[in-house]
Amino acid sequence: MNVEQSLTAALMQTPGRKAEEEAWPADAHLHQPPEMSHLLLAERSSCLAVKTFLLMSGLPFSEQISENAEFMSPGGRLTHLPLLRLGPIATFAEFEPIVAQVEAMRAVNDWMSEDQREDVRCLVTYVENVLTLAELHMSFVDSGNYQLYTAPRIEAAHPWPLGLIRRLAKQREARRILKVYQWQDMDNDQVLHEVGLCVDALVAQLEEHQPEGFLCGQRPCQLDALVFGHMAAIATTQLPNMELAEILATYPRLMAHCRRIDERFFGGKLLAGVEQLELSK
Amino acid sequence: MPQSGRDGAASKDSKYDLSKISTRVDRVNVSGLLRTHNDYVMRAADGLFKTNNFQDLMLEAMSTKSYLHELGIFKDVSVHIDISRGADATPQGYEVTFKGNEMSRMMGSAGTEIGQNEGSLRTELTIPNILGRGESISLQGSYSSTRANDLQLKFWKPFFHTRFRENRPELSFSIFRQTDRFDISSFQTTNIGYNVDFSAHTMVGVDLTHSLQYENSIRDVGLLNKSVPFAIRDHCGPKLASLLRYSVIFDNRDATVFPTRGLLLKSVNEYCGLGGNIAYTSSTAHGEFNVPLFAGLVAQFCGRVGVVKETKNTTQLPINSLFYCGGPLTLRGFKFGGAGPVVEGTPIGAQTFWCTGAHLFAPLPFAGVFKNLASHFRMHFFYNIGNSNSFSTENMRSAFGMGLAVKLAERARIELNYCVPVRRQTTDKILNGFQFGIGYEFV
Repeated sequence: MNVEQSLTAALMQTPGRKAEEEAWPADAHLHQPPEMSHLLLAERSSCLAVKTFLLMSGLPFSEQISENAEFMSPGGRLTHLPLLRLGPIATFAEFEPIVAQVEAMRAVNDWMSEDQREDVRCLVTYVENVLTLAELHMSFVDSGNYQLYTAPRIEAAHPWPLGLIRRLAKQREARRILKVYQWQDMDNDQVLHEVGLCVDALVAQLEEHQPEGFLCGQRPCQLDALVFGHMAAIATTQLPNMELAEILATYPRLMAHCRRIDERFFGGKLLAGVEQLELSK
Repeated sequence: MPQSGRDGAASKDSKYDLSKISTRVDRVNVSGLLRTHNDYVMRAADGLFKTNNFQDLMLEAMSTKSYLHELGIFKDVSVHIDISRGADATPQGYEVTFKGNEMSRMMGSAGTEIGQNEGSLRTELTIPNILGRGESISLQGSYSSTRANDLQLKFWKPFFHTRFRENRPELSFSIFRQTDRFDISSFQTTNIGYNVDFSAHTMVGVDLTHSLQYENSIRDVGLLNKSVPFAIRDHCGPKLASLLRYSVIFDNRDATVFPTRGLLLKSVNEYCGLGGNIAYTSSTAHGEFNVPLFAGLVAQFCGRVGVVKETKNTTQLPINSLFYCGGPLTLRGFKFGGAGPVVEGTPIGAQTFWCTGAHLFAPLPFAGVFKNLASHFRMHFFYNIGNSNSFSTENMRSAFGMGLAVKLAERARIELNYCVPVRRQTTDKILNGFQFGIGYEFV
C-alpha cells in the first residue's frame, strides 16, 4: 500500500518536477559577431529578432561577441545566427529553433489557444522566409549593395586571403539558399513585390488585433519579435540601395508598431535615427 | 683487375694491400646523361681525382656511386674501373666510368605508410629531374581511416652539386591539404596552405640536420558531433596561420628502429603570428639514449617535452596546437590523449606536457636459431612516467608493462604490450591490459 502510494505520488509529481528541472540556466549566452562591423543584414535581423524575443519572454541572458559565432553554430536553415548557449553544452541557432526551445522550457505562449499558436507558427515561418530571402537577395544579388556593403564587410572580418575565400563561400551559400526557394532569378521589383505581400499580411493581422495592441493579441509574442527584428534591421542598416527600407517606410502602421516595441524593450534607442530619416524626406 | 700486371713488381711482398698500390685517376666518365645537365654531376669526380692508392680509389668510387644515387637522377648506377689508354695516359693512370640509367619521366607508386599510431594508404606520382638538375615534382595522396587525409603537391630542388655539397642543402615548396581528426576531443582540423622548406646539414663539431620552414595556411576547425563542450566549440571556424618552424636533429644511433647505442636529439620550434590571426609559440623536444648491456640487452631512455605559449598577439591558443599525452606512443597504459585535462568529460589538449620512458630491449629467447627473422623482434619492458600541464612530479601519471616489439621496414616499430597503469588521475582514461602501438617515434 505504502509502496503503491509513493509510486503514484512519484508518477504524479514527475511532470511537475520536470517543468521545474527545465529551469532557464543561469549561464545563458547569446553569441553573435560584432554587430557594427561584421554582421550582414540578414544576420543582423535574425540576431535582433532573437534578442527581442528573449527580452519579451523575460529570460535573462548575456550577450557575447564571438567573431566565429557562425562556425560555432550547430547548423541552421538560413543565417546560422545567432547562437544561444544554454549551459556548457546545449546550443541552438537561428530564430525558429531558439523559439521552439524556449517554448519547450517555458510556457511563454500559454495565453493563446492551440489554433492560434499554430497560426502564429505558420506566419513566423512565412515572414522569416520572405524577409530573410529578401535581405539575402538585396545584399548578395543587388550588385551595388554587394560591392559596397556585403563584400567589404565579409572581407574585413578575416585577414587576406581568407577574407576573399569567405566572401566567395558566403556568396555561394546565399545563392544556394535563394535557389532552394526559387528566388535566384528574381529582380529587385519582384523581391519588393514579395515583401509587399508579406507585409500586407502582417498589416491585416495587426488590424485584426487592433484593439489589443500586438500582432497576436494583448501580449507580444514571437511574431512581434521577428517582425521587429527584421524591420529594425532593415530600417537602420545603411545600404547603398535602400529600396527595402523605403518600401517598409510606406507602412506607417507597422512602423508605429515596431516603434512601440522599441520603446518597451530597447528604450526607443534602436529606431531613434529612423524618425529623422522619415522626417527629412 | 688490371693492377697485378702494372704494379706486380712494386707490391710483391704486400700483394693484397691495395693501399700500397699507387694510382692516379686520369679520367672520370659519367655516362647515361640524357636529360641531366653535365654540370649537375661535375662534383662527382672531385674526390676521385684526389686519391693516390687503389684502396682509396675503390672506396671513393663507392661513395661517388652513392652520391650519384643521392642526386636523384639515376635509377641505378654501375662502376667500371679500368687503366687509362690513349696518348695522354699516365703510367699509373686509371679511368673510372659510371654508367647510369636515368629515371623515367614519370614514376608512380602506391603502398602503405606508417605514421604516428596509424597506418595509411599512400599513392604518389613523381616527375623526377624535371629541369635537368635534380628538380622534381611529386603529387602525394594518403588516406587513413583513423585520423588523417593528406594531399600534397611538392616541388623540390637539391643543391648537392654546388660547393656546399657536404651540407646537402635542399629547397622545397609544397602546397598541401591535410585533415586531422581528433576523435577524442570531437573535432577535426583541415589545413590548406603552402610551405617553403630549406634544409641543410652542418658539421661544426657535431653533425646536425637543420630545417627551416615557412608555412602559410588556413586552418579550419570543425566539430565531429553535436554535443561538444563549448570550450571546444569556441574554436570553430577558419583562421589564417603564418608561421616559421625550425627543427634540428642530432642522431648518432646505429639503427633507427632497434638501436643498440647512440643518442637522438630532436627539437621543433614554431613561431606563429607573422600575419594571420593565429598567434602562439610552440616547442617540442625529443630525446632517446641507448646503452648496450650484456647478452644483447639494450637499455633505452626516452624523454619528450612540449610547451605551447601565448605571444603578445594571442587572443586564444589554437586547440589544434595543444598536446595530447597518453597512448601507445607516449604514456602506454592510457588511451590516446587520455592523460590530460578534461572539460565537461571530454579530453582536451594540454598547454605543456612531459613524459619519459625507460626501456629494456632483449632479444627473443632462442633468437640464435632463427637469426634473420629474430632480428626483427625484441622483447620489451618499459616504465613510463609523464604529466600534462604540470612539471611537478606530484599527481603524475605512470605505467609499466612488457610486450613484443616488431621492426617494420627499417623505419617503423609495432608494439604489442601488456600495460599496467600505476598512477593516474580520476579523469584519465586508462587501458589496463593489451595495447597496440605503431609509429616511428616512441617515448
